[in-house]
Amino acid sequence: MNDASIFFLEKKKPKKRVNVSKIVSFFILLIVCGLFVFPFVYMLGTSLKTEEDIILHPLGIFPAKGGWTLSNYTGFIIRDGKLDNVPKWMFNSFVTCIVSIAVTLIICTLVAYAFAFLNFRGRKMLFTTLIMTMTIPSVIGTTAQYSMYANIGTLTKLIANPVYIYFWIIMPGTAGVFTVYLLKNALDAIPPEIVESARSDGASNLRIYFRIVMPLIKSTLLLIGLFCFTGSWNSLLWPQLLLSGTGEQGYLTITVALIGYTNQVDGWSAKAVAMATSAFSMIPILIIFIFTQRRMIEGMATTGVKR
Amino acid sequence: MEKYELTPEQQQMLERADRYFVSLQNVEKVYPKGGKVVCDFNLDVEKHEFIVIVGPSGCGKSTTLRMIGGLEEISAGNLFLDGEYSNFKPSKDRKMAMVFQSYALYPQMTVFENIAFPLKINVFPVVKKDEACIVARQMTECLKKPDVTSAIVRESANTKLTGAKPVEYVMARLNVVRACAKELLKFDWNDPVAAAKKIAELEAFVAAREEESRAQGLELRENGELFRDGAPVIVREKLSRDEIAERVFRAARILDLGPYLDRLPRELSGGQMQRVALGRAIVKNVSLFLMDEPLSNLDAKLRLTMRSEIVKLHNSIGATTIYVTHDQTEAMTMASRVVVMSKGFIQQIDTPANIYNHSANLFVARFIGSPSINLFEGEYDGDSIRVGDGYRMQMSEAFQAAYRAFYARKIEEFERCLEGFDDIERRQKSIEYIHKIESALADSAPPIVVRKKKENLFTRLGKRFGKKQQTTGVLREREVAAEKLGKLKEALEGKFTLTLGIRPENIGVMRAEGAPAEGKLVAETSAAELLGAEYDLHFELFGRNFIVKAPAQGNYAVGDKLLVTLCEENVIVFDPVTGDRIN
Amino acid sequence: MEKKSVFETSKREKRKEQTKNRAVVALFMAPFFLNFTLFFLVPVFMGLILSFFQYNPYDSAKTAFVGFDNFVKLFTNPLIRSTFWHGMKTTLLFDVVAVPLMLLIPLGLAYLVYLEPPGYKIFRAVIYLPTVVSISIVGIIFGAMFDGASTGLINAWLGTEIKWMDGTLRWVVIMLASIWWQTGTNFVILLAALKNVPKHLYEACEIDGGGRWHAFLYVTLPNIRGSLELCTFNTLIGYLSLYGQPTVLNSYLNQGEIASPMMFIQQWLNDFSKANLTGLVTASAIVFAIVVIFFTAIEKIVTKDRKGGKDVYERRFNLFS
Repeated sequence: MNDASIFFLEKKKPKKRVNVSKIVSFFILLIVCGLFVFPFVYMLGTSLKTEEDIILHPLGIFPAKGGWTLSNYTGFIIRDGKLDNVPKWMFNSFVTCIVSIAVTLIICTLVAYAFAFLNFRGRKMLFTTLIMTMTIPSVIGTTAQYSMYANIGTLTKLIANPVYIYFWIIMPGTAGVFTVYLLKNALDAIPPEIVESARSDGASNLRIYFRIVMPLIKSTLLLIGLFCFTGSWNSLLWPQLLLSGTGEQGYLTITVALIGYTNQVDGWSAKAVAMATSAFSMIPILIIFIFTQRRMIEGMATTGVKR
Repeated sequence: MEKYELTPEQQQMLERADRYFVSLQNVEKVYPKGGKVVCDFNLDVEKHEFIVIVGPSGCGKSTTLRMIGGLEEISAGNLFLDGEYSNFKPSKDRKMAMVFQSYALYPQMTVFENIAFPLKINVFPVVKKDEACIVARQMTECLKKPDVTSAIVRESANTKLTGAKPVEYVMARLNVVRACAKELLKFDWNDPVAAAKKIAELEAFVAAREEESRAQGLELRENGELFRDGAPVIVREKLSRDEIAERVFRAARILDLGPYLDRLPRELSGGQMQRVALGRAIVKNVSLFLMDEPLSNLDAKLRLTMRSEIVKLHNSIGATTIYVTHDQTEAMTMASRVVVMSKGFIQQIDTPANIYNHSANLFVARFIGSPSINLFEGEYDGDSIRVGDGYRMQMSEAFQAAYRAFYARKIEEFERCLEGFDDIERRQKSIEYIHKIESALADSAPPIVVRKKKENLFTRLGKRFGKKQQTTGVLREREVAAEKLGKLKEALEGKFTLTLGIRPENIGVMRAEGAPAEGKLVAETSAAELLGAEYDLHFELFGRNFIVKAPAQGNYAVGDKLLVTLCEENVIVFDPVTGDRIN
Repeated sequence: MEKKSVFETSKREKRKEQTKNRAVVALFMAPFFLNFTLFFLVPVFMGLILSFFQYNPYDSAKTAFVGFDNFVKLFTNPLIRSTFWHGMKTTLLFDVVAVPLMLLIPLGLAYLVYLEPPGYKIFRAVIYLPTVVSISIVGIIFGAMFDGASTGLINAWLGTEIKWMDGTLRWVVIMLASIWWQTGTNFVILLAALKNVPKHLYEACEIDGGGRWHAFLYVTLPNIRGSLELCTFNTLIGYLSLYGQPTVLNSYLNQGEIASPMMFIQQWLNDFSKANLTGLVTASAIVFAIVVIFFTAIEKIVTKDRKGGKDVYERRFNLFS
């Protein structure tokens, strides 16, 4: 009888290794996520405080007893009987996003369809060249683009016109090569027989594109829409460039407008109002996030997948 | 060591463990959410056997293999490897190698590095050697033949011709270690007396070393190995680069992987990748090989060649192999013994011939054999079996006695089982007994997968707070047991329908000329498949579809009338209630 | 009626169809390429040209060709040095610390979530949530938390009165804010990559005798390589083009400081008084673009795929047999 048999008789079980790592990771993640959630909680709590409360009780996350107030929120919606700026700004951002998504989806899907299903000379080469342009930093074109905007604006006297401004804000971002790349990949996954049989049935390309192909890549389209929305909502550089020249405050997008709340002088800032405005402006994005978060995460993940 | 009191059971277990190389005793696997996947698995494997575990998808064969390999935890039962209790031994200590269905090659390493990997990261027990002494002895040998040696040294300089580095060339040609080769290259061959001088120097050195070792109580042998009191001194250390290379080359030679040593896995075909996986397994010099459906990803033709290669490899290495597959052809052609599994239960363990000719139950009979066995029904009245429209098979005395004994036994088992449902302690056993019966009657087709509805927060909330489902007071298994017991009792009471099986080769067919003779079976061909040297003829008989093999010369066609002769000694009689064979 | 040969008719039909096809192709591609040309190609091309000119977009009459003058000014002018080059240096220094952190932290978190502890789905969403927030909100929150007065959150907690937003200290805040804001992106990509590593490789490694460290080195890392490279590439470019964080996390005193090349470009373009320096700004953009291309080229070279086939062992094997 060898040692192992004794082992067997005593039925000793070795320590379970796997579960330990799960528990350890749980606690680490708990702490990390607590830290991650904290700024949001802080924002919410501060937005419900009064200004004195902030200065008197800096450590309290939530307002002191009786100090809860919604005045910070109501303050920026209606002022002096008129609709105040914050809703205007959010409306601007909203419109920008919607138009941006629409334009992007239309022009990018059309091109992607052409690259995937239409046969023409130089198709592959054109596509590869297009992909290569992704390596060129667009910053080179920023000054020229701005100049074009300013030049045409002054010449046509449209420079203060909000439609003109927004046209220039939205249009440059819509011809995204990466979007086309994603779409083409998604389209390549569709068996070409579907398109071929539709063609032999006599359907025109436009019809195939709209009724057959696009419904098949709904999830990719949704993903692109999501990222386009958040990208457009949060974009800072280009809108700020174009909007800071204008006199009217009401034309800003919410992201650009909120810059005004940053970099405040120590201690004297209107923290509560700033927090309230931020919290309020986050609502659309938050709603979208809650309902699509899983798809966003999984979609983000698959775009980064193997080369 | 205290004396342990062993129960006779435990005594038996340990004896089994010691006698066999691999011993699985009442091994079970239960998943927390999935139920029992492997139930009461008992298998004893002797050295050098080629065991094939075969069964349809989901029968638990891969799980069993992984339990042997240490990749799954054993829920109950004991696993003994080479006499040692191994339930909780980590995989790397189990002295075995595993080949996966997906090959599991490291994609960033070349073939050489893949095969070398287990050698690189482990320590191995080797005999302690006096390296300097070995070098000295080898050099002396080479110096004693200066012409040959110097010629080789000169050749080695011409790397273009040899295609290798000088050191490695010298190593290979003169069969010396790297350090010796280096010395030989540095040596001045033009000096006539240098050789003799060096020889003297080296011999003195060796002598001194021998003295030293003797002083330490060690014996320094011819090949440089150190022995103490007649037994070799073993140390655990990492293998040197050259030793690793040698082992890898040996494996590569056996598997014919020489030209691929520098390729990456993505540049290889399926068969080549499989051979690399085998190479990685054999290079470890272990005695137990586990293979999990290694040929499933290969195309049909490649599968045939690799099948024989694996068996040849098994024989030449003298390993013990446990092989899992769903392909019954592989099981029949490769195994020394076959284990047929269904729904987690072992159906039969036996040699391929016995599995085929003496299938233990309906499942084994249906699963094994291509084309499959022909099954039909007949009514037994205690004396003969009446099939179809009047064909009678007279059953022997032996059969009649076996029949009565069989059913008596079964009735007793079922009665005990039924009682067990009332007793909390025995209830689980009864439930499992019924599951075992059901596994023997199971279809060998894979289970229909019901697509699970997408689960998210809302569905989970719905489940929690939704309507509670009615739970029946009576166990399903209990009802099944009662039903089957009733049927079994009928068997001894009068006429009883039995399931009969006959293998295609045990049926004779001839073209029917003219009117059918009395008492002969006639059938009409419904399909005639020519396989080259023979036909697979399909026809309907006794209300069932039959398949028969017929020689190609017959020139059969659809609609031909056939005269069918059944070889009655080779008819297997099964009990339809439990699926077990009666005769 | 002329009898047209079969070949002629079909040739004509073919040509008709060809033109129809070409029209369809053009229809599909036109919107995108119109936009792309107008808003990308033309500006880039113009930008390259503009850098050699003295140009004022509001007063195009004053355009003048100045050759390499703008570039010379870029490298010699002291004002430029204290703004553009100062920003370049600051950003590069920051990147040396930031880029590795923004790869290691998401990798670590991804690994922890990959172990699937209870509630991992919630953890996953929480880590990703900050990435959908806009930078101005990040600035507001972190600006308030790290307020320099004693009533700021962090200061009150620590009992100090550190001026977080001043001078070099604000880069600590920027680092923390960046981690909070952007870990999610890389985290999600790396998590998916970890999940995609075939389980069998881990099992084979375990059977071969590898421990946890071996498994990480030989199985995990090589198999998440593609995603890791993608993340490195994106992070590198993103942090070279740093703009949002230094803009929103700034103190009153520091307001003039230009902390990154993008800030330089943005602010000088915005400034009406500097409109006639547009050529100069464009030149700076080109120089900046070259720096970006330089770094990305290095990154691509360093992470090149290795190909098998060096015939190292094959030759030795032939000797052996």
